[in-house]
Amino acid sequence: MLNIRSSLITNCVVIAIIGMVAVAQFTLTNNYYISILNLTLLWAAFGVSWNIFSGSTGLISFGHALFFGYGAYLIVYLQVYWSVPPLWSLPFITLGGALLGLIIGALLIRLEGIYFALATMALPLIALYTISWLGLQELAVRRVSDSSLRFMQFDNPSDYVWFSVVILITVIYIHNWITRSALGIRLSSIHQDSLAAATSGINVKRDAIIALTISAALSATVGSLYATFIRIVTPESTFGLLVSAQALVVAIVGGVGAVFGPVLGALILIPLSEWIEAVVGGQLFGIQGVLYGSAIIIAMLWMPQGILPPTTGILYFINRNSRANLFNKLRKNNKRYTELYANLLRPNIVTGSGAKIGFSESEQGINIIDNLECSPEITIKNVKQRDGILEVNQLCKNFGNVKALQDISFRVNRGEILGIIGSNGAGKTTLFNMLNGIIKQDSGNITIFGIDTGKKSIHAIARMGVGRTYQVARPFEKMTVTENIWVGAMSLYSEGQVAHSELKFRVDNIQKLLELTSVCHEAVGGLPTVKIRAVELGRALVANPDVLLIDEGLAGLSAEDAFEMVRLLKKVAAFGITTIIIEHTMNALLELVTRLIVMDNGKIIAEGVPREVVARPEVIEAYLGKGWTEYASD
Amino acid sequence: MVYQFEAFLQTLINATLLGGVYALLCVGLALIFSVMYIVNFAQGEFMMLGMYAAAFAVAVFSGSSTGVGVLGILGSSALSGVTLFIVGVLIYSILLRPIIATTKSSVRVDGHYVQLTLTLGLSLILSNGALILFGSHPTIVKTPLSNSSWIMNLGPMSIFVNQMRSLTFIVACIIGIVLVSVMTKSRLGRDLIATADNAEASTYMGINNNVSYVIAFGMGAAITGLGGALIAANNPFQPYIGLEYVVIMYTGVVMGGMKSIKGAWIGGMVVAYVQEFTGLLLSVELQGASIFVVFLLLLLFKPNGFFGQIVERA
Repeated sequence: MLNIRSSLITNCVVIAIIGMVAVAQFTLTNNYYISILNLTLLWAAFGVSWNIFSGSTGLISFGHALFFGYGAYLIVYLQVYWSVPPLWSLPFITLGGALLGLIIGALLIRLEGIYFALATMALPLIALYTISWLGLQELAVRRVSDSSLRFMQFDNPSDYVWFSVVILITVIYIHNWITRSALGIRLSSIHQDSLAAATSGINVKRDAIIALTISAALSATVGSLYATFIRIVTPESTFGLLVSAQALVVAIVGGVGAVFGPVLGALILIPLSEWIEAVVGGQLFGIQGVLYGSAIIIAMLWMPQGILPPTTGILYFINRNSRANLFNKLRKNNKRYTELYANLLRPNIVTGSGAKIGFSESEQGINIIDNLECSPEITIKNVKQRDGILEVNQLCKNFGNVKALQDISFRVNRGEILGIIGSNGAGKTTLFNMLNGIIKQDSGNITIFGIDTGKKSIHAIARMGVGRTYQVARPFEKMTVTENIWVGAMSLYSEGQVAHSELKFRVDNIQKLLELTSVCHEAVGGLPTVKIRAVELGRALVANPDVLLIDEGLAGLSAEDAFEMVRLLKKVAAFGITTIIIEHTMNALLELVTRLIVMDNGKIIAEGVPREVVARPEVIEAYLGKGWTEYASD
Repeated sequence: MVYQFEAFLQTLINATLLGGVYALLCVGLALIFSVMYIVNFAQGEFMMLGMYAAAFAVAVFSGSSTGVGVLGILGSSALSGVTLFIVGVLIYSILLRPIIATTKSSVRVDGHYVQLTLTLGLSLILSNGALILFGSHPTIVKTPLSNSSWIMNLGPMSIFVNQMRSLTFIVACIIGIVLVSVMTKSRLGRDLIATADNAEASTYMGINNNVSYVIAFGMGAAITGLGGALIAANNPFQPYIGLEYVVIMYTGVVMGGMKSIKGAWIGGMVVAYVQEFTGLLLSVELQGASIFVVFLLLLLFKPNGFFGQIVERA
């Protein structure tokens, strides 16, 4: 439903744009107005191109002038020095722009927030100086009398407008398509929390580079069209800071989160600035810059989201197939239907006869039966008996002079629930961050199924089967519960391991398992902490983790909520997923885990069966201080 | 051989003298970043305003057509520092105060994005506003000092030491020393450092963070503005000059580890050496581009600089 509606909106707006331009074409007789119309369309297209990268990923580019200027300069240069007709060179310039975006992305995407911004700002300025050095301060295209289409030169300025309309519409549809695709969802999760996205198996760097490549190609094309229209390029007018700012300002004023935001922004700002320029620009050289600067500041202070409200792409994607459709499809193919039950959580773990967790089908769909009064018996089938899923050998890590981890070694076996306790600063979270690949060890190694993770990136480790929750929960706050859980499965979907319909099925069942169905369409940011923790857990579970890392799942919860959470964790544990839990709450841990490791000052001081371990004097000493050991031994 | 060595020594002297003032520019930026975590794109425009303030002070208070002497330079620089302090305080109170809460509370990118974009807007307004007010003709602070040099004769070699640049260097060093002692020894400095380190905790210790912010921003603007005033006698300037220098400042500050004032000082010096020595080999335009390239290489390979490290907790 939503899917159809949003396409409808896009199509309507596009038709409206074409209509408006057509009307303007026939009513505007003054060439000056037509050129303003054309510039508005071009800057709108540039704004949307910028938004494809910066709006989607949240990585703000302050240097899109690099791509714009590249397109503008190259098309003019090729025509002037090599006599290549612009229409022939245009497709190659677009491709070259994509390549440029790819290279810049590969170099810069790894940079953190502010460094990325600074680097992007510097790039067009390098180009600006280099072009001046090459002696190309001003390039102008001669008028060509014949074959006007090939040379993209027309006597009637309104002919240029059609090129601009085509590029604008192309850019809009590309952005619209990205927003609704799997890529759009991955970008949206990166935007909200790139670390959480990476630990959910999303290749943050690759996806951001893809977005930049598309954005750069389109920006270069817009730059080329701008140059063929203006017919004269200078380093300042194509690579200058004002050009980068122009993409930014139309998008920010119109609304960064909306596909049509930059179009609206351009529609307001470009005619305004051209009008001001015409009225007072002669006396007040620089008035445009002041206008854009003021627009940026006003937008940032009073309407940081811009005029148009943000739209999220993920809903379209989720609702791609309707629910009824899915079940009809499933019923038709009975074999697939049963497979889906088996694949629900862990393809190779099936709850056997006598299990207290199972599934039943009813009119409403799938129900999960759970009855946890007595401990569940789990039989594991089809598992190659690989005992050690995860092995840690002599792990060491120093932060300056602080020895965060010293010589940590342990092994985690399939199906076991390992607890790690220790006082604050014992190195527990550092250890988790290392298991995830967020921090790299100084020495020692971590292997998962015998594969060393030392050189693997965060998302690759996640895809190897390490799921994770955080001490301070990191959900995607602006997404709904369902959307959050979808993100967890996006890496499987993108790799083609699961179909869209199956994904939907899984997410539904995870929601049921974690009792989130009633709130599934609410934004996570507004939920109580216990629900947020459940969402994080669901996001990790949906991707079928081989090892689940739970970092203080009870931190910050009230006694009642903690009880709720323990109940959920027990349910999850009943599926036999290998789990490592860090916890302060000793009682909860003792209920959940099968084995316990005690850490203190970056070392493992005890390991074994929970009840025995906590009775050991050195553990009590580490926890309560020396004086208590005597009391405890009594 | 003697000629090359003479050129080398001359460049070394020039770079050192220039480095002092680059260091000052960088320190202003680093002060703002270290206390407020604000990446200020408009810092170059603060420098530009400092230059114009000095030029105006000289034009108003000195009737002489040959320019001003040492006292005139010192006076106009001081005046431009004060002016920029006021400008900084006003900009902070009107524009930055509403957003600084969001900047500090969020470790993630969103907060930075708001203030980065805001200061970009500020930079556009200041540079283009200056263009409207002052026009695009290059201006300079006139002083006979900028054309006179001491000549050091070392055997066959003669090294020129520009008097204006020497004065600039001395003033920059004095301000640097004063600033470091203020930061480390005075109550005010300790408050600033506390706010920088942990704004929330310093609130509980009775420090008014807003006062720290306003002082840091004002001082940062004033120091950079004063640096601008000092080089305004040697470098002709126009309203867009900030853009050329903002990258120099960021290179120095990033090299120094973003949050360290001493680091920024050393970073600024290093940038001057890089620029002057590449000037021996490259043409003027490429010399301009070279500093950007150094900046990019630095960001790519050593983003945490050489004097500090930022560790984020997951």
